[in-house]
Amino acid sequence: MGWSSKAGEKARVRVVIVGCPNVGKSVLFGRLTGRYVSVSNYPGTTVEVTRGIGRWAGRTFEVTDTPGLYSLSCITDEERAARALIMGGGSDVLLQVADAKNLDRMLPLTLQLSEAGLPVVLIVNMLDEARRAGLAVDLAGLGDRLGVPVIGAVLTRGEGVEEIKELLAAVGDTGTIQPLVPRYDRQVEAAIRAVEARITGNYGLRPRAMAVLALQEDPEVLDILRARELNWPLVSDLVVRMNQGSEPVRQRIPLVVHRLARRVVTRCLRQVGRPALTPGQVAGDLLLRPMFGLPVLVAVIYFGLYRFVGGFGAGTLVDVLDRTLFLSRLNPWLDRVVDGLFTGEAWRELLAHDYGLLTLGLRYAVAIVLPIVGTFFVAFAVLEDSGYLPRLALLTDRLLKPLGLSGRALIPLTLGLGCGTMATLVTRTLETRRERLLATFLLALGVPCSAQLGVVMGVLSARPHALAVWASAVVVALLAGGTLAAHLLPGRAAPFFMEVPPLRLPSLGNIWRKTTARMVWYFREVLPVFLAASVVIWLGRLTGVFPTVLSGLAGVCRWLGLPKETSLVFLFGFLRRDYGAAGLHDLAPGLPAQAVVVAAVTLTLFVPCLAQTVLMFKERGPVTALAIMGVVFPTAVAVGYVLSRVLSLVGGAAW
Amino acid sequence: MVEGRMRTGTPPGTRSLARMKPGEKGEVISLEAPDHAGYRRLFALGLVPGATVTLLQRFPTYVFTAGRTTIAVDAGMAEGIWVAVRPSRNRSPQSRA
Ligand SMILES: Nc1nc2c(ncn2[C@@H]2O[C@H](COP(=O)(O)OP(=O)(O)O)[C@@H](O)[C@H]2O)c(=O)[nH]1
Repeated sequence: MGWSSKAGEKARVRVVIVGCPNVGKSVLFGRLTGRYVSVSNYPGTTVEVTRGIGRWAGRTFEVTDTPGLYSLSCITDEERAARALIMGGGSDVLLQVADAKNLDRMLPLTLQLSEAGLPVVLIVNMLDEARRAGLAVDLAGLGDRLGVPVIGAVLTRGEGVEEIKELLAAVGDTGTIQPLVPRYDRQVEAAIRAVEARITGNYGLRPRAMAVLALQEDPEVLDILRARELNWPLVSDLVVRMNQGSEPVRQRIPLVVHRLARRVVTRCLRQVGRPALTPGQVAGDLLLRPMFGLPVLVAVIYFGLYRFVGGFGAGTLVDVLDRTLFLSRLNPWLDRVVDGLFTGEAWRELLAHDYGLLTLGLRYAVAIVLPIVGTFFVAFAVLEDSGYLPRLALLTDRLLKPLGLSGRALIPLTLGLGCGTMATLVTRTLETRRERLLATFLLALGVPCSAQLGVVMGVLSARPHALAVWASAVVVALLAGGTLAAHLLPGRAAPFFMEVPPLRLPSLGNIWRKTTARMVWYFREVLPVFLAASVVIWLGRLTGVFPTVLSGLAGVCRWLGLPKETSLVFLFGFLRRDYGAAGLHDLAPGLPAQAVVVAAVTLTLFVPCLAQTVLMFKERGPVTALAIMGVVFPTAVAVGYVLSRVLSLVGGAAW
Repeated sequence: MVEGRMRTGTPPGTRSLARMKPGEKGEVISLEAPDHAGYRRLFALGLVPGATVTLLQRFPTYVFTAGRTTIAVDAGMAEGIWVAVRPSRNRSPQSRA
């Protein structure tokens, strides 16, 4: 590849895309690098920093997409990640993407970036929506006033992309213009100068910007200064002093920045026509009301989850792939090939036969998990891209309050219905530690992932009352567990506030690119664990550890009134939760309905899969993760036990 | 700690968002958030002193527009958003006391 040559290396331009959530950053990233990573209508699903390479005008551009950043004074982990990237100094130019309709909310960041001495280009995106709202943006005037390059765009249609590319290709050639920066009142300016004078280190931002952040009591900036500046005590005194009284400087500074932004916007954004009322707006407003929103929710669950993921994905597709492809053709053939190649029994067992890497590991991944997770990701992408999820969040906020959660938590919890591992990662978007912990706990306890859900529905849907029992048992366990955890955990319920984006018609291209990106992530993250799990099973059988574990679990199974073969399902269930569920799929036809329900419930509540456990350790720390596991395991067994007792008492009539 | 307490000398007709009726409009006078982070977040959404807000609905959560942004908040947050409500012309005026 040409770009790794020395000359190419020199010419490489580092471009960092920043901006609020939901303004089109991912779309721009895709346009510049030719690759879509994740486009979303929900603020905050760009979880990881994404890098890509673009080439045009004979130069190479390293483009980085960052998580949403509202302002330089950060609140969430994601914002901190974005700011750390900017402060790290790894950029030749910052592209700030902004929503034209809400410029007054976007410009404070532009002003802050200019204040920090960073080279920023403002992309005024969504001009199509602005036009429909009857707004006209004076782009040239905006550029003159802000003193930074300004480009108008409709990124989804590719408008403005050429201009952006041209500008980037000419980076470094632009003359120096003086960007607009905020000026504060005399007292605040004096305080800024006093702090600035005591900053000696280089932190990637201008000392003035560091001083402004310090005066706003930015915890991270204060930590940096505390650790690295000799004059810290003087700075600290001043910061404390300036933040006393009824008008602390931490409130005065943002107000000044905002007023300046508003002044610029009133000059450059004009209402020229009447806002057109689009069908999307009407529908979007209706969905805010429970009277319409709740029936739509029921329809979404029925068609999206039950019919599409459960019926089509877990039913039709799994049948085709598993039964007609793997079980009747591929597996027998693989068994023969492996037997022909290897003589040792151990090798044969590792690769093929009942628990082999190919015949079990690959088969579960491709034939059972792929269609189910794939259909779920399609359904989720549609909901996400249409702007439905925040509406769902505001409708359900009240219901989640008793669990110590806010409506915001509904997004990771819903995503948990797809993949608990990914959902655990997305709990980062929640604002308080307490809420992140509670959501992680619920995900670990019993939010069934799509692989599990699909298999359970596949197994139980022939017996609707069994499905109902399973669903109620899991919901009750989640509600009870969540309520109890919320009571026991100190702290207050997380406040709920959320931006509600307009309802948009999702585009097929976005859904396709988003789904494939997630699938790639899933397989990169999960297929190795699948295969590792197969190796663990092989080792376990080879060394005789398994029979011991299994006989232990068999005791638990007996207690739950289950045949001892289900112990295998539980063991696999830890290695991968869906793996276990898939094992249940194989076992179910030979079991009585009651046993299937008890097994399905216990398995759903059982410890999360290996991948999710690993992520839980990473995100929440070992102590918390172990505590969660310690609660989840006995809870699962206890609920299974109670359920089996109740079902036996209710008796055979129903079964 | 409560961030951004009400100042003295607020205009008459000032009520918290939680006491407004759907359809009512007004200017934000001040914000109280449970903590500074919440305050900053509301600020970032364009809910700043002087912004014009219109309440759309109260149930199941408070939904209102601030400028061209639609925002949803729970009752707790709504109580901390103080608004100088404009007297409405097309409705009975005596209900505003
Ligand atoms: N109408 C319109 N929609 C856009 C435009 N740019 C992005 N979008 C949509 O806005 C939503 C958010 O975009 P995304 O790139 O995920 O925002 P990010 O959170 O900043 O990365 C997606 O549904 C996009 O399809 C645009 O120029 N016009």
